[in-house]
Amino acid sequence: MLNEEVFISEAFKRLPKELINKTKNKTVGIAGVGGLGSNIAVALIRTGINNLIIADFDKVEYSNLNRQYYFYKHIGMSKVDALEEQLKNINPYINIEKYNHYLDKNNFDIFKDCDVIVEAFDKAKNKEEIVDYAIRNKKYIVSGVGMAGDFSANIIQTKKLGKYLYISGDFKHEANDKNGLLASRVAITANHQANMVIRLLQDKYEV
Amino acid sequence: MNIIINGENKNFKEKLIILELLKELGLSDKPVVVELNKKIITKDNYNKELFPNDKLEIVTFVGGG
Repeated sequence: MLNEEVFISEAFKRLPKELINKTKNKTVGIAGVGGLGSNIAVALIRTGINNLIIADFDKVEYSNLNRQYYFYKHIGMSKVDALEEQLKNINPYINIEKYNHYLDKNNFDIFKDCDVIVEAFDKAKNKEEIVDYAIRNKKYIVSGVGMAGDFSANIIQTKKLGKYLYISGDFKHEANDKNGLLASRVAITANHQANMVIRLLQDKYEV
Repeated sequence: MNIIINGENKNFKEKLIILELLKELGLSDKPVVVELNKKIITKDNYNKELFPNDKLEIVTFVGGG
């Protein structure tokens, strides 16, 4: 295995030096590591982000394999453990803090020292709660709203609300039996969010 | 009075507070976030009065992730 210095210079050859320098000491908190959160984490790690706090109470199930960044061998494993394995297979030198608990307003403080929080929950109520937490605590938060179905990819966008809130998605299509949740649109939304996080970590505040 | 909601002009009675507006839109018990003239209004401030030509962005959170 390459030592850390050599690995970083090889693996991130194609990343701008300025990006690496600006983001190397930043921490991102990801609330929920299902379809959105697992894909966002992968994009961030591939962009040289070193420090993540990942939180999810759930285990990997067969029904996750259609869109979440897990493999067959992860079935039954806690999502935070499975994701740590995936991420360290990309960059073995990252710092991952894991919370294998159900998240609600009583424990959102696990993210209090993060530079940016990512909202990647499945349920609308949880999304509302952590967005409220972030705004009250003046934390940047990037949320995902509306990514179900096979509707046009071109209606997925990122909007800024107030000073601290960014929302990616089509703002409309909810997950239900008719729409379903497809890898393509979930990953598009996840990567919209990841891109916004990468911008915020470099003090780029416009969407 | 005219209020601009998500880019569309809509007509409402005067002396309207945010909570009443959300009720009229059928959103008062839905998970939402409200931006008024580029500032987020948290729930404890939903008694804030709206004025003509105020600009609101209302996002209703929907499930999926």
